Amino acid sequence: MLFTKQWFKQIGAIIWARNLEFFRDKAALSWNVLFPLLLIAGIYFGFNNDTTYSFKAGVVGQASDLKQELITLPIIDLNYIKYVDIENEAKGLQSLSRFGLDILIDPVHKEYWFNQESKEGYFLDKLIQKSMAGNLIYTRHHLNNTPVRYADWVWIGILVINIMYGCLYGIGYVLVRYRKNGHLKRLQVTPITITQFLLAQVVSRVGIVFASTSLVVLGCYFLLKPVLASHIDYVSLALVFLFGVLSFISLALLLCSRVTSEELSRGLIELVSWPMLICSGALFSLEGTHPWLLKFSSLLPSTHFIEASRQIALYGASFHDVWPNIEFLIGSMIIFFFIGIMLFKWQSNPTQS
Amino acid sequence: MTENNGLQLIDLCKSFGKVKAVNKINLTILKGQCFGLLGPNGAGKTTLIEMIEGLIKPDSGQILYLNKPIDQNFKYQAGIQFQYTKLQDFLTVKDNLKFYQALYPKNKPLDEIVEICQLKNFLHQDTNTLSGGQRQRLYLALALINDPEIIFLDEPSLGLDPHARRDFWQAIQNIKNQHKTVVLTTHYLEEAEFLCDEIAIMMQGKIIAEGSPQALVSQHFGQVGVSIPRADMPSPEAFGLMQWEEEGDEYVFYDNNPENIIKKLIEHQVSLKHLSIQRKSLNDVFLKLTFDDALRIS
Repeated sequence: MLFTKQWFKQIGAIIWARNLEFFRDKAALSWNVLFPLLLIAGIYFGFNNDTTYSFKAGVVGQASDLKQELITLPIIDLNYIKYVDIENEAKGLQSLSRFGLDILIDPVHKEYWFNQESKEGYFLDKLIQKSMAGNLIYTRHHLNNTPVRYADWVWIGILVINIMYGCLYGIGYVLVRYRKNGHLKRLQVTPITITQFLLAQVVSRVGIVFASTSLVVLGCYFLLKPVLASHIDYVSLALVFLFGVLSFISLALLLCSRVTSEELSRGLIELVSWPMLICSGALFSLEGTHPWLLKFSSLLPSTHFIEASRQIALYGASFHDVWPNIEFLIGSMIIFFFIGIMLFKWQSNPTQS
Repeated sequence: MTENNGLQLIDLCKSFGKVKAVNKINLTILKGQCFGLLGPNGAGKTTLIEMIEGLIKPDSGQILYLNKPIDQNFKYQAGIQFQYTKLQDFLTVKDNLKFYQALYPKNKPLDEIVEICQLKNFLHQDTNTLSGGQRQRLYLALALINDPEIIFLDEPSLGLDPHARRDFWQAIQNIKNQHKTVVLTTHYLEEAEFLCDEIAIMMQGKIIAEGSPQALVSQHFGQVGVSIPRADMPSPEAFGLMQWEEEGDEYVFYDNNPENIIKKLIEHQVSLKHLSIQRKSLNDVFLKLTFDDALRIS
């Protein structure tokens, strides 16, 4: 009896009950909205006064092959500078604008660029100029367009990470709690099927995440006034959001498809959330990190969610530009969801009594 | 096959590892009957009931409802009250009733359920703030939400105070009056005796006794007991062949007819001032059977 009126009515009933439960839980609701706002505000102010000194210099071409050319720059012997190979100038400039690099050097054409909004970039530029005392053979550029500040860049990452936690705990933890306290057992004897129940959970969570994220985005927009691209493709952004959220939710369904212990579910959720927090470029750029880390990062849904959101919101990317990310999110969602359904158990193993 | 058959279990078996939780159970529950399933902890009652409810798959055997093997449709015909389940947080009694109502195509009107289960006074209360008795009545209401033909009640009055239990029994009586089939598992023998038309006693995965509560009492305790304080009479050995035993400070005499005992006592000039008649109950049958069986097994 798929897709009948009653079938949808049943799904609607579960969504309604779950949403009531969520919105009446005032503590959890405030936490879902307040926490990301506080986190973003904290990082915004905290990171803008960063006092650590470490520099990332992009070199157009292969840095190792261009040592002779680079030696003409006085910063080459400094400690705490990491040289990153950059394929071409355009990519390097994009990375510079999003704080992935502090300075971009083209040793062949004897040019360098720096981002005026970056204190590291500013520092390196001043150092080069003072050291060369008027004998600089490099042409100096600073970014012409309105540069994206770190805070503008990072808040999207934080938002996605918050969505990730909201989905993993909001679905995974709730499933385990329902299973443990017998609510799922109660539902098992009703005509509800596993697919209906899980679909209802997915729809309910998408709605909840959409509502809470909208509030947070509006809060951030008015409080922090982030720099955004002049043209934003909102349809593509909505698709990235939808499939990103669905991918996270499906991952949670998979992780907690048969777990009955809250401790274990927390462990499993942390097992996947920590790598996504650290390795998906949410808080800092992964440019210049080990190739294996980059490869690993490209396998995480969070990486694609964050990357596509930033591309659209900060650099005005189109649907075509972010399609590979959306494709990955759809693929991961389908895989996680169907394995989750196959593994799902209403209750723990029955006890003999 | 008779038209009156409600539920039929045929050679039903279920093992957990080496433990045979349910061992070749054969049972017939008639339509409109209130059937009690009794047994000590670990006897296999819940396993048996959960197999019927479709929560556990039997290893072998058959379960028929209205002479047909049970299938997915049984979910629409059955109402179940579990022993330990929790409802969703932050939902009121009415929210829960509406939620479960939406899961079934056929429903009993809410007003009627509220009336039967006496929920009116706390309809808008959060379920987490309900007392034990109120919660049990809500669980019963949820079991009735789809207007089922057969209702399973697993330890429905567990942990209720005597007043709440009496109220609950009244609610079940109301359901019985609507000619629904009720399958009740309970540890309260008084409850089974009060509510059930038929009972079965389970032990070690098997049914060791079956019948109406009155029939089981007569079958196992045919004779009536008359007790006299030991201080009121000499040794009963002088009474001849009359059957007797010592129970604390009393002698208890047994005979099919208590008049015979009283005659003998008068003959021996025993004071009848503190005489009392001992009527055996289902509780005694249960203790006798499960104790005998436990002894036999050990």
